[in-house]
Amino acid sequence: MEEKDFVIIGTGPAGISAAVTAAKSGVDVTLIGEDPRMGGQIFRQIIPPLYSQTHYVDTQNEKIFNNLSEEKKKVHLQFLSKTLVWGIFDDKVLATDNKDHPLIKAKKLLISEGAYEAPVAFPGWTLPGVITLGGTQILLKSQGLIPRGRTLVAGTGPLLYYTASQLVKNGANVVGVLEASSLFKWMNWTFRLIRAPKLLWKGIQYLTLLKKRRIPIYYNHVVAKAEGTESLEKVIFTKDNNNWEPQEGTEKTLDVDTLCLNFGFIPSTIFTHMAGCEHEFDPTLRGWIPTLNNKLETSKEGIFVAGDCNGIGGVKKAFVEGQIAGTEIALQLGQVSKPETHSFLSRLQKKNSRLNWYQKFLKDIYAFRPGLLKLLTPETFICRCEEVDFKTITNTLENGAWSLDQIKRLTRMGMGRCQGRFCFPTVLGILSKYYSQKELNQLDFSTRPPAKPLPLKELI
Amino acid sequence: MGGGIIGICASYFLSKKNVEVTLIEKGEIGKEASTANVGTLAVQNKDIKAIPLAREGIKTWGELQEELKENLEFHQSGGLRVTEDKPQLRLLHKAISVQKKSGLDIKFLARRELHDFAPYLGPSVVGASFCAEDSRINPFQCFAALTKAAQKNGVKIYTHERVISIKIIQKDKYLIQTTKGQYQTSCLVNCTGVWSKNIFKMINLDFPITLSPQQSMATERIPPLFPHIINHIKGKLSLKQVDSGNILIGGGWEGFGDLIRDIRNISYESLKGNIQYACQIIPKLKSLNLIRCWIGSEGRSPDRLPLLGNLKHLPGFYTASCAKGGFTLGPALAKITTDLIIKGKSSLFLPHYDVNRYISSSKRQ
Amino acid sequence: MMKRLKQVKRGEPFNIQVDNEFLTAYHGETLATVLLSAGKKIMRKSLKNKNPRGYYCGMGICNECLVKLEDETRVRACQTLAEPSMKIKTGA
Repeated sequence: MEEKDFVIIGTGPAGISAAVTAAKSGVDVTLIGEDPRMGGQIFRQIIPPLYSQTHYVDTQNEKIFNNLSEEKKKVHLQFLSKTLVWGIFDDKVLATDNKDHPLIKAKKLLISEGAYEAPVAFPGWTLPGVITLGGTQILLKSQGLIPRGRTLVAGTGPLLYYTASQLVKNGANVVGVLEASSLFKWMNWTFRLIRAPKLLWKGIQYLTLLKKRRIPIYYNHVVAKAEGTESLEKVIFTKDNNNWEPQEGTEKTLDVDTLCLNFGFIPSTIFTHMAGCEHEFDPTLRGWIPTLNNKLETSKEGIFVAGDCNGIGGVKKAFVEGQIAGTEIALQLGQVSKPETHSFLSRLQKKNSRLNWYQKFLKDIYAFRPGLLKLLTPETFICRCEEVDFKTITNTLENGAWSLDQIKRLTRMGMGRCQGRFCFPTVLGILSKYYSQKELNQLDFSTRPPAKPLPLKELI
Repeated sequence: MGGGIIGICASYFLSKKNVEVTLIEKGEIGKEASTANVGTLAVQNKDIKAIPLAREGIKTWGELQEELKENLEFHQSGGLRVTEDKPQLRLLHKAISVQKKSGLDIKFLARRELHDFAPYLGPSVVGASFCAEDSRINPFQCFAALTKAAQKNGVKIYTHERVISIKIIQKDKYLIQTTKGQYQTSCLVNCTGVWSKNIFKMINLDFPITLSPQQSMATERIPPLFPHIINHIKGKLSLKQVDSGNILIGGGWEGFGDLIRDIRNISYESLKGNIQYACQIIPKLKSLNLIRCWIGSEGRSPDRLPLLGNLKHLPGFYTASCAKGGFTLGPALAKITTDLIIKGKSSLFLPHYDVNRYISSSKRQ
Repeated sequence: MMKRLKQVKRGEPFNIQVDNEFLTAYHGETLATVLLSAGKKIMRKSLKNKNPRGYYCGMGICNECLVKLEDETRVRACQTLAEPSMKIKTGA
């Protein structure tokens, strides 16, 4: 088994930032990522040999992107690209599908696996043509692909306007934007953005562009239903209230070929769970957050976490968190001394807590509103993989099951290929209505390898 | 005590005879080894001494499916015990002759015949025995159905409640202290699997029970590939495709476990070894994706046979625990226990299952 | 349902076989890109109800875009780069 000083899973801004920071102090760094290039979801770039003169990193984060790209060149990093870490075994042993590096033991491990789109189940959400906003971004950034035909952008939050205007600029036919929250709420939130004038300015630009192109923004509206025989043809949407509950009798119908959805993000905790780190459940995120000390170390010695998998904090926070983890790890590995890093670390920690407002801002915008659960009909699939519908879940709950594990055993929910990523949040949303935070914290479940489906032949 | 397969079966059987039953489970019903197994109900891979229990167990599962009117996904699809070389063939022939003598209907399939019968097997397989009694079942459905039936009969089920101490008030009166309350009874059954060791400690017995953390895994769902239950003469392999289409791979590969810290971890070496074995026997598995792994804490007695019956010196203190192949044997052990409690005897109870066999060696402290 | 942006330079095209037809692909493109550009939205059928499924998360975690390679392996179209002489099956 190879031994490495410092291994990073995930090559988004948090991962790269930690890598650069630690490597500058002389730490031998290995980054592992599934994609051909570093960048994660936010800094995703075109896959060579495809070539584009412009990259599609959004301009507000361009500075960090350029900074990291420059810094990256100055240090030596080992990057295992197109490599899936499928398991974490005791103690900090990573199993990968990379033929040259099947097993890696890390002295220090940073998990920066980011987040994924928060699923919202509604009738027809499994139809081809209904895609995530993140999935739309990925096609644009890494493949130079935009939706053809009538495109509707729906959900909540700034990413809707950003993506819609990006699509419009590139010639897509965007027929509207559905925003679940009210214009009034947005005016309140916008007020808070005074702390980030650049961001505010960007937002205004996006909205202006959409206005100029006469793309309607429907505030206080949610998608109620997606229809089509073999793929998406129509979207039925309704007015909602502040709880995002659909209002009967307000249905409108639009012909749509592609529906791009975003209701915020869920921190990915599959690796921190697999490694046995402690977590706390966050009902507004409908997910878990690893318990960390102020140096971002988990309850498991030598395992660190940075970036969006530690609550959704955005690029800047990911960047700073990466620096904190990278510095602390360099210190623990003996590459730098305590006095050398002391002031730097405390400066970073201060900077990090200054960024908490933005995390809080995102949390307020994206906090799950249980009114969305009213979209569910008895036949709506909660679990896409195993095709478990809402009726089956409610029956199981009524029969006394309440833990995720029990629901899983009795209904097969979460036993499919996505391993619960796209059904647990919905069920947790349902459970949050019935149970206290304390009870939800005690939800008993274990995460085992593989982190993603793994071809058996990889192990032969 | 213990809401595993033996505990829930015994509760149900006793409740049918109008016995007032309380079931105490430290966690959730069927959460440990009982559902971590892969639902293989095999006869031919069992110790010859355990075969009567296995046959009775499988028969009972069939009856339970009828009786409970639930789909337990019980299928008597027959099983193959495969071999890959001459020494293994010799072992197999020896096993077959012993099994035949005990009355089991089992037949040998030589290479050509076998590959006609089971064309999915890989070229390394040179012969196998076929036993029509080998079956499979869905443990999750079993627990759901049995829990429902037991509760309907008035069984009180208390979960997340751990037994802390057992006091012997007088010869056949016991006071059980749990994390949530006290129970007084003249009859108690220890079905706590590997945790039996702790229960025995409470009555000053040191039993040689060891933990065997058993790993299993599932592939993605695919259309039907093979109908049989596959075992290997060398052990180490159990393969079957279940109703949902997933292929379950197991066979006794051990992971890591620590009962005191309540930790169970998958072993990479075991996982890899098990997969390699599986793909060698059914090469088509290579193109499938692994999607889940899990691990259960099985308890083992030194001779791998169950711990069964009434403790000689403590009337009313029964044990039904630690059987290798517990899901197959489970209903039989529960049946025997029910008979022992109600009638004082059972025709299936044999001395080599008797819990008292370890008493002399398990120094009373 | 998707179109290729002109400002992104693609090298020499090649073909991959999808079901019974040939689709144009470029190096650096994923199977999802090739399928979506050709208007093919349905990548697999769900197991129980045989409902159509397609590209959803795009980041390799939902597994809705599974397609079958020639050796029967199921791969995620969004994570698998197209290569000349590939033969894939959808709807499986």
